[in-house]
Amino acid sequence: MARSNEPAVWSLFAAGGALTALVLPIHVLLFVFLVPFGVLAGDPDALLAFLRHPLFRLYAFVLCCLGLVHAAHRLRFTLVDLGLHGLAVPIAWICYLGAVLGTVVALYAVIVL
Amino acid sequence: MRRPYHRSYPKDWWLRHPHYRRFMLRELTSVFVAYFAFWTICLLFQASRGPEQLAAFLTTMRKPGWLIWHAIGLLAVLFHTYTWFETAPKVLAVRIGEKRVPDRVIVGAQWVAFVVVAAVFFALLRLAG
Amino acid sequence: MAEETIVLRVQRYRPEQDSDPYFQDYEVPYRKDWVVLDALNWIKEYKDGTLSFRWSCRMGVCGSCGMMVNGRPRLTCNTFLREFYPNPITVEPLVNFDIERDLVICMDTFLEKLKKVKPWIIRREVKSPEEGPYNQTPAQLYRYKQFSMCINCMLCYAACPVVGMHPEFLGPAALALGVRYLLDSRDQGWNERMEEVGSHEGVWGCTFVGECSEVCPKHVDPAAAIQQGKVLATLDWFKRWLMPWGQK
Repeated sequence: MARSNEPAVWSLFAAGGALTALVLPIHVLLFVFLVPFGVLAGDPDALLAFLRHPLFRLYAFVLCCLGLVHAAHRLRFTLVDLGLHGLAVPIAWICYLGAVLGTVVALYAVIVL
Repeated sequence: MRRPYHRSYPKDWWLRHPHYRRFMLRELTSVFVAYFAFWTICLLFQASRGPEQLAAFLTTMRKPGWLIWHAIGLLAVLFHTYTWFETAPKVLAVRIGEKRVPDRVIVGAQWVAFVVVAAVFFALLRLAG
Repeated sequence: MAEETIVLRVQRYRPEQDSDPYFQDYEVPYRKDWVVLDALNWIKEYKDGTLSFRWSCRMGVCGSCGMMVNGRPRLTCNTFLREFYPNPITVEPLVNFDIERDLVICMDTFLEKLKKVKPWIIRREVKSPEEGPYNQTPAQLYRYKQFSMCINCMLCYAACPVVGMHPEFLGPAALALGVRYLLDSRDQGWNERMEEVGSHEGVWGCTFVGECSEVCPKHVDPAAAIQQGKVLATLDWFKRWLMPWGQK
């Protein structure tokens, strides 16, 4: 047997898992629930200024990138565990390519914002 | 005489015990992690089209269908947080000298961090307007 | 007063005559202080001498009497009848292993996996007995002590879905043992052991279901050992990439 290169993705998976565990619930509560109802940042111009702040752009990019890699890595194994043993290799490719594609789109989004 | 009998593993193993079902639920929270990352990217694109587009997007999010879907998602990511914090002490096994830091201390420290982060996020958005 | 009894549904398989396993019911006396193993021994003694099963110490130390009791991997020597009475108890051989006969499983695959992680101290600099032992501080001992308490009962293999789905996976007990030696300050076999522990069939096969630790009668917590093994393998991997000149 030989040492695996799994640490490359596992470290990103773990970083993404930790980051999303820490911030995703509050991120969702604020931006998906409270902001649309105007409880916070009810003025669209003020919200826009907030979203365009360099620190928010950086945060949003890191959250989306690590969150997607975390999810891709988990789903890759879960789909195999659910019985798709024969498709393990294509599933891994689709999951990780999806995460990379999403990361590129997220990067584009925070730049054009 | 040796004639070993081989049993095949059931495909529906993950339905067969509460612990396995909980494991599968934990793994499937990743669907919502990915979804909310995707939703955030959508928010950013709507914002890049100006304040009117952004306001329209946010108004759509107040529709009951979206609210129910997102409430399920919020529960899922909270479950992700809960299970991640619970398992962290096993992965880290922090030691001070001969003693291992008790699991509940590590779990508790993470929840404190969670509350602090939540307070900071809330305060920043409050300051924004 | 009629004696209280309980029914044991025991899975049978006699390779010389049965093409498939089947269940046989035995009515055994119910005693509050009897464990499942006592009931099996009573059957063997008074009802059916052909029933085969492994056992030895009767006190949760030897790790021989692991079986599926009502679908859960348990040591039958510390599983009391009173936990199930008056309902019948189903006893099967541990899952995720081939069946040798009745409740006896083939443990060849497990022994092969144990050997792969080289569960012994590897030294480059060997001391002679006159030079004394390899000393260790209590703090160094406690880093791995919990992971060295395994009795090889294989309950964790029966609990692990990854073992069931991917027979090549080294599995909880063997990996916990491998990590135990990685964490041992006396050991100098890091590189050769990491080849096995840090492989796809090693810690990276684990999806952290965590059931191995739930069923472990010795609280070894193999799931924790494996996750810590992932951290060790990851740090090792980055070190190799960032400092390729640092390799011995």
